[in-house]
Amino acid sequence: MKRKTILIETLVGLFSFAVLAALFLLTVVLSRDAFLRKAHPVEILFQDVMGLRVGDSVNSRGVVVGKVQGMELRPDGVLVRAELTQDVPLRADYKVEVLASSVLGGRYLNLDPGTPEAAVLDAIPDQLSGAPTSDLIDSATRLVQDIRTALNDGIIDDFKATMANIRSISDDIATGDGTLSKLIHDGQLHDDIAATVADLRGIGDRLAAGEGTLGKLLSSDDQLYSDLSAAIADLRTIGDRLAAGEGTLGKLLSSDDQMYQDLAATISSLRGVGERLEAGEGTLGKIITDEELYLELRSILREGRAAIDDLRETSPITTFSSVFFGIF
Amino acid sequence: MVGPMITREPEFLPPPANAFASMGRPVIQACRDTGRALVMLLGAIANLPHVFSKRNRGDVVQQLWQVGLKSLGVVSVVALFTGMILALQVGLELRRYGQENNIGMLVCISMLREMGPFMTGLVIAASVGSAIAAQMGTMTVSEEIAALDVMGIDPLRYLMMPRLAALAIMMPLLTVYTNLLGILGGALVGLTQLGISYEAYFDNAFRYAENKDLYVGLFKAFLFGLIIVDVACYQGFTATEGAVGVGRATRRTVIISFLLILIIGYFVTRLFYQ
Repeated sequence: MKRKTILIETLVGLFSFAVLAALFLLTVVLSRDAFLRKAHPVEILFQDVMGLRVGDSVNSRGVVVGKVQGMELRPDGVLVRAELTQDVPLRADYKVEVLASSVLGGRYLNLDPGTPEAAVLDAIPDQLSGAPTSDLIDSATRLVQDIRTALNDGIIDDFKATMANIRSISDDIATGDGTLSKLIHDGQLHDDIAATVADLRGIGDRLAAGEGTLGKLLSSDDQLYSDLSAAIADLRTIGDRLAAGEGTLGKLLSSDDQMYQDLAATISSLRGVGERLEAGEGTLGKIITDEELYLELRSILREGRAAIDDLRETSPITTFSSVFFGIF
Repeated sequence: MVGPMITREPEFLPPPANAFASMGRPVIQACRDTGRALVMLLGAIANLPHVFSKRNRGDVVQQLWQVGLKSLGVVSVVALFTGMILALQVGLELRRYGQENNIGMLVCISMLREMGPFMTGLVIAASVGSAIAAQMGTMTVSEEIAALDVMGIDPLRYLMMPRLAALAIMMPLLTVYTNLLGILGGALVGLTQLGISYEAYFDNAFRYAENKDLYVGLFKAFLFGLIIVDVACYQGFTATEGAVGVGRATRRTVIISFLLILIIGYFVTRLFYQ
């Protein structure tokens, strides 16, 4: 056999072997090691599989643990056959459901192992019961139907009535009725509001500038506040003293009625004096009631004043005489 | 003896009698050619048990060399750039939606299902199919086929069967090679143009592809191999009118092979992915 023929046969054989080896590896990779692992077949009975297909994955906690191998329509539902390539410790409250893999379509079997509180099953049962499925589109359709029913049950009528009210209000505004309409149509109201706002702005400016009592109260200068505090403190002190019965007013306000009794007795005495004066008793009463005594007293006073005037006129001469004779 | 059935003398038919006849004649001719080509293919398949005979083994190996290893250069470039183009075009669009990480899946499934066998079929039809048609056509117009027939050598066993065996074996193998290089080309573009690591690319690529995708693609490649050999040998054996006829046979081989690869590819896809 020629060397060239041998070389050609060898190269062809090598290429074929290499490609077949690559094909084997590719097959293994695409099988995802399925034939190297022991698969556990399970059956799940669903009422509805919502478009699940053979070859769709079985997930548990987001991890792919198997694949759907087949489906069979039965009188009591759909029997789905799947192979689990990983051990999933199921608990008594496990749940198997068909979920949408995306909003664009596609389904997968979700195997929820259950809550930690539930008892762990000894082994995965050969037949599991599937949870009722819920389709996203179906749920959205029902929601739209519910909204439509609610709208037809009165919301639309209420909305129409509200719109009619709004239209009536807008008509009133357009025709010039009411304050809001005047605000829009009447320039006087606007001017008044503008003037009021200007006044308020002026008040605000004065307050900000610390003018007036209120401005001083609001200003950073706390003199007025201090004075007010001191006055309040004084009032409090006075109040305390009054409460303690100190001072005349305190004694008047206190429960001790001695001063009241003294005052009452004094007033009673004064009343007696007044009665006696009115009755013309005593010197003062007689002065008040006796006209003749009044005239005599007036005469005495006039004479007394004249005597004092005479004495005042002669006092320099008397003083000089006393001084002069005093030297000697 | 199948010689007289394979080779064909030039036919000088009268002009069509009317417009319908001018439309009907090519249809009848096409049906007749299809039938003859299928019979020829069945004849070559019937001779396949002789593929490992001492008389034919050398020819088969020679054809494996010609079809497979001598086409590796072209197939490699086509495969690599097919994967790169797929990854780039799909990746740029997916990046608008932040989904460029999925190019691995798209490139892998596209290559395995369609692009691998399709591109391999086109390359082999253009290079090997045309060469077979030219060789067979030259042998036909130089009456070598007739000489073989006279010597009692079956041209289907001596000429067509080794080529059929070679293409039936090599087309799936070359398709595996094309698939791997295409996926690798996609990974290169993913890393350099889209910033997707090899780990993420290959993880995504092999997560969704299945063995069904791979083997349906290889089945397509096998069918494409049969189509190329059958078309090329039929066109070569039926070549007439010297060098012009050989050129016509070569051109028709490439055109018909391309069309059949597309059409058969569609129906196989429809058969397996309904």
